[in-house]
Amino acid sequence: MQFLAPIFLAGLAAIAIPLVLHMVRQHQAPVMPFTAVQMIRPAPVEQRSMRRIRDVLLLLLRAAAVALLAFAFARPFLAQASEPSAVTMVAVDVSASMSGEERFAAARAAAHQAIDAAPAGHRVGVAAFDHNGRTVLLPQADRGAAHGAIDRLQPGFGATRYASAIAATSDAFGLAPGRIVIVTDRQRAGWAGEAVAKVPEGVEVSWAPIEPPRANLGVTALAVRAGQARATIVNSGREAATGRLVLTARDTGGKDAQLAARDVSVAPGETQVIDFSERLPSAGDITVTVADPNGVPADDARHLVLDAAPSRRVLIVTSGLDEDSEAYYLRHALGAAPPGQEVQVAIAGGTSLRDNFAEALSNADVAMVLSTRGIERSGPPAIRDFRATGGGVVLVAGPTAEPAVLAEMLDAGETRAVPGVAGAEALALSDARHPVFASLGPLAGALGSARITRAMFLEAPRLAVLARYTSGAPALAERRRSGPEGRTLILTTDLSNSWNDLALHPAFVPLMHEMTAHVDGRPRRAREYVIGSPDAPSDRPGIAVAPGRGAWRAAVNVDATESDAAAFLDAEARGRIAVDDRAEQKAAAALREREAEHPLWRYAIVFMLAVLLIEGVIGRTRGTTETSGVRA
Amino acid sequence: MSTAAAQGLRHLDPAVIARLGSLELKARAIVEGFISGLHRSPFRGFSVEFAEYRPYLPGDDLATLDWKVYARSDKYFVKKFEEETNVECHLLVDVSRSMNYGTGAMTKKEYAATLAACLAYLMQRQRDAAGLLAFDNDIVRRVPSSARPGHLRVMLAELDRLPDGRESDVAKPLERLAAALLRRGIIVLISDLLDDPAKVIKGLELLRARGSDVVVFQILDRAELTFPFQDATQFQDLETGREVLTRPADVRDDYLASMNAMFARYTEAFGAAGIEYLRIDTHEPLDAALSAWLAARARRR
Repeated sequence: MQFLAPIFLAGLAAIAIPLVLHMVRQHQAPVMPFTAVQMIRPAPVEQRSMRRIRDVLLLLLRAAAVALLAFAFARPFLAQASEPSAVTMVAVDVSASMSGEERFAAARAAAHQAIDAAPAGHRVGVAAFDHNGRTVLLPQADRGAAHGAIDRLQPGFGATRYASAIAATSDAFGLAPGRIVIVTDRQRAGWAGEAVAKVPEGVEVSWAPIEPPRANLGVTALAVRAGQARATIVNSGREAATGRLVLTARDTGGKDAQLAARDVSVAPGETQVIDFSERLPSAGDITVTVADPNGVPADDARHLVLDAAPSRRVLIVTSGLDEDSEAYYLRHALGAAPPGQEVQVAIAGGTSLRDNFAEALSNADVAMVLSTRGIERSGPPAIRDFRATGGGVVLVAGPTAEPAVLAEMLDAGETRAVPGVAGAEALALSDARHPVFASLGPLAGALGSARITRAMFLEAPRLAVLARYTSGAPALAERRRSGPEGRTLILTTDLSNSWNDLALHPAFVPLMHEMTAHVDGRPRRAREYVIGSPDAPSDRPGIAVAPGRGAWRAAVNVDATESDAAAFLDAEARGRIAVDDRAEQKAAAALREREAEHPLWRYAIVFMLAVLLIEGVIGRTRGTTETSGVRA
Repeated sequence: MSTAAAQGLRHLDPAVIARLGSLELKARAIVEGFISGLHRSPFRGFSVEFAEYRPYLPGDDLATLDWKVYARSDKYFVKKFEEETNVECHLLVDVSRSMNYGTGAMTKKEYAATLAACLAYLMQRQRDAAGLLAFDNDIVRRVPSSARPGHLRVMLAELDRLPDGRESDVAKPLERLAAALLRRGIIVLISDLLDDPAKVIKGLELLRARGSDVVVFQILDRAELTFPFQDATQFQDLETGREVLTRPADVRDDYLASMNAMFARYTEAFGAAGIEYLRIDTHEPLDAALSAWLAARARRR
């Protein structure tokens, strides 16, 4: 039997308390008032007289109660029949750099050897890792199963990350000691950007190195410069390599065409930049491959999408009276987008949209309504339909926006909207963690310096208020949505520098981008992803379609560092691996779990209560017979 | 009804009596419980001079029923004689500190007060005069005897708030009572008699000598009668504060022998003087003791 908190066993010393009380009581004859004292003969009371059996019983019961309490607090549990046997975990690198029949066969052989070399009595488990570590086979005595698991492993296109390998295998140890054998090509890049890997106490890490290819050509970059493709070729081997470089283009219809081919010869460790002079199509994608039969196959190709950068389409609805001044600040703010986040702005007057508002909306991702003039009737249903199909809406209560129509467009339950009230007021964020403000950083706080002279008062049940005026009235609010409908923000003051100075505020440009990005609700439109990055749409290289409304095509490539064959030194690895300082906590947690499975302390408490009950009954019986007989 | 159940109804447990609110209720419950079983009044006068008629009450001697009146009016009337209306009963209640002792539902003093209340109630029913004397080493309360209808209330009120006394000394109050008594009567002493027996006997013999009918109720707690204590104990006298350290188990026999010697002495002395002597355990139902005694007394006459 073991104890979770053996310190409480010191409480057993408290048994002395009832004992002492018992002894003290033994030596003190209680004073009892009586009447016929003259008839009582004095008799000497012996100091060490034997107690009656019943008192000894009481003493034993009290001592047992104290002991049971101490026992319960010590949280006892039954130890496992035997300590867990040691474990050997074989972690096999299945990253892109391990691809190639010959190399992976060598890796399998090394893994099999590691299994066979595991000391007798060790349970053997198998893990695979690239940028993700995963346990393929939990530790078990059956080594045949481990060999089988090794045979089923296949290399992939991921990036090497040793810390993930160690983390994945560490969990399999539990409290058992043992070792981790990592079968890998020891790429130094596998440590890049990683925190120190933690191994449990009593677990050692050893490496089963796989030789990198003697020569390996890899395409590590592909870009378009002035309408021409530029590829970067690396030879990571120790010997010079020659290969044929092929540039292929694929049009949007999926038809392939070889544009160019070039023979290259690259010295060991050398990087060459190859410019293709051939003209590229304006859309579709291109791929550069290098024939490298002896190298790593996974890094022999690189892809690039030629499509025009997908941009966010924003329709700004104005009154149409003075479009230029009404949307002036907004148009310029949205136009100042960082690369990759381009915004395509369309401005339309309400009067011109009277009959074709829905059609105009169908070509937009986000609608910003600055004015309701001209679309009093057609606006609300069109906005509702637009929102229902996932479109984002920003309603701005400017001078030409009718509160009642805005309320209809907002459709957030019974809404009270009162036009232009309030004096000079400031903004205060109600929810600084909201995505609209979160990426503004310090600028979000600076929004408080903006001065608002007029605003619409708004009150609706289905609104989450993101910012308020100092009066407490909502300034920026988001409509609570249900299901897949688009988001809607409403700003209760204008964006044309007439009711406030927001447009001149340093936070104005990022705020407008964040607002439109938030209501748009689609992820950033990257052109290229690297396998292993969190938002990569695919784990295989090639052209992938990024998910979401208005899906776009993106290139997915192998991490370029996989072409770097530089191996780390043992000393480097030692510096990167540390004993898990939470090992004790983990061990304690494991003990707690084991104790929780069989909570013996509950039985101890129940027994203690039973003992106290018996003690109480006996004590009461005894007390009744010897109570004093005097009443006041 | 089973015998046991009948016993339960008849002999009201002290624990039940103790819970009854007023002393009047207690007395009524006890007395009414057994009075119907008595056929003759336990207290009777000595004269034969006719005084008045009064309606028959349960407990009246059937010999005193006037059958001629019954034949004429179809109602029961008893003839009252002069002396009957003049029986004077003095209830002497010990309130000394030792009477505060009690391990049961009632202390000895409560038990004594209830007993006195019962007797007063009984007297009142018979239109006899009753008076009260509470004493410790002197008379501390006195209610002169009277047969007036409202007198019972006065007596009960006084019994309800008997004072806490000091040390007991039965002789002195008895002497004073003897000096004050003008007529013969019934004198009922209710006490634990844990006093000097010689003084007690002397005082009571004096009263008896003056022609009074003397009845002694010795009220004792069961712990005093059996001395049930086990562990070494320092016993402290309630009246004198004197302390005795002893092992009760070892001295119990001696104690009980002393008590029995005291009882024997009282029994002998009172028997010789024609004094009725009754020992009551406060754990026993009061009505059982009272009715047994009253029945025995009625038989003797």
